[in-house]
Amino acid sequence: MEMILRAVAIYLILLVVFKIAGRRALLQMTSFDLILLLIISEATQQALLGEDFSVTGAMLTIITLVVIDMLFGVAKKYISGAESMLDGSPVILVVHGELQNDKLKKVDVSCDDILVSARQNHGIYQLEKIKYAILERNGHISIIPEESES
Amino acid sequence: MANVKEKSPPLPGVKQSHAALQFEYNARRFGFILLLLIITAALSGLFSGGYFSDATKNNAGNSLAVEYQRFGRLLSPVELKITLPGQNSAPLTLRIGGEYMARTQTDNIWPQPDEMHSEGGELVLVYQAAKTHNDFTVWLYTTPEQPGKFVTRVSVNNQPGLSFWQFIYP
Repeated sequence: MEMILRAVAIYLILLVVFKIAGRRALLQMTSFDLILLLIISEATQQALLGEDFSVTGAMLTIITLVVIDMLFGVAKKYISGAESMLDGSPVILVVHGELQNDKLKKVDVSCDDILVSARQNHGIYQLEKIKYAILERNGHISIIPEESES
Repeated sequence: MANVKEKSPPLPGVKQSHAALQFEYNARRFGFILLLLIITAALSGLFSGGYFSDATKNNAGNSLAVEYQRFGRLLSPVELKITLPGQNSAPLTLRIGGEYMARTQTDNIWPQPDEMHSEGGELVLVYQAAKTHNDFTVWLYTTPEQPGKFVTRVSVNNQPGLSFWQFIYP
């Protein structure tokens, strides 16, 4: 029973911490982010398994984590607003080259983040040439260029 | 808040939610404060060693003092220091009871007792050659095996004992 409670507790703690950190946390994956991710996984592993190195213990932990994830998936599908609250909703950050500053502040995304995505995916380096920039649920920024330019 | 809605034209396939955006913003803002509070609490010793955790307790006659940590974590070693100031009797029989035996595992005792046994759920340590008129100290290194609050009772020979509580985080 302890293994299952540990897995549930760690899942919920990670859910809350990464909700606080924001959807773009660890997304850009700099070399430091990679190291941070490894350290977090190491700390999590110790708390999940404790002194138990059995195959059964690992199996119980994996099954518990997958089942909780599936339950959250079901909740997101059938409970209105659950997906938006857990994963956030898409946010339009730029409309016809105009920054939506209030939204940028709320999702903690800078103009530079948008321009990086525009450069990487579309070779756009001017804000005016962006028709829409949308922050997706997974933290990526989708860029839709102005039609006249494409 | 109103202009957020006004400035957001409907885009096919993009369902924006003002409530979700506000929730995300508040979660990050207040959540960050919560995380800072947790770190501050940890630094001040609310989760293990620190100002609020380190404690010393003496018995009624000041013939026994125990230094311990009020807060510990499951399976993380904790030190217990038992001092008998200026004791003048030998042999010394140290009894550690309460829920100690049931909730913790004793990893090491220093100095090693001449005799050690359990009696009625208490750990009994006997030191035959304790020097008189000097402070005599025993260190116990233990590992909590169950989470929650528990009370430990310590007594020496037939002198008045003392009890103290510890809280172990899961």
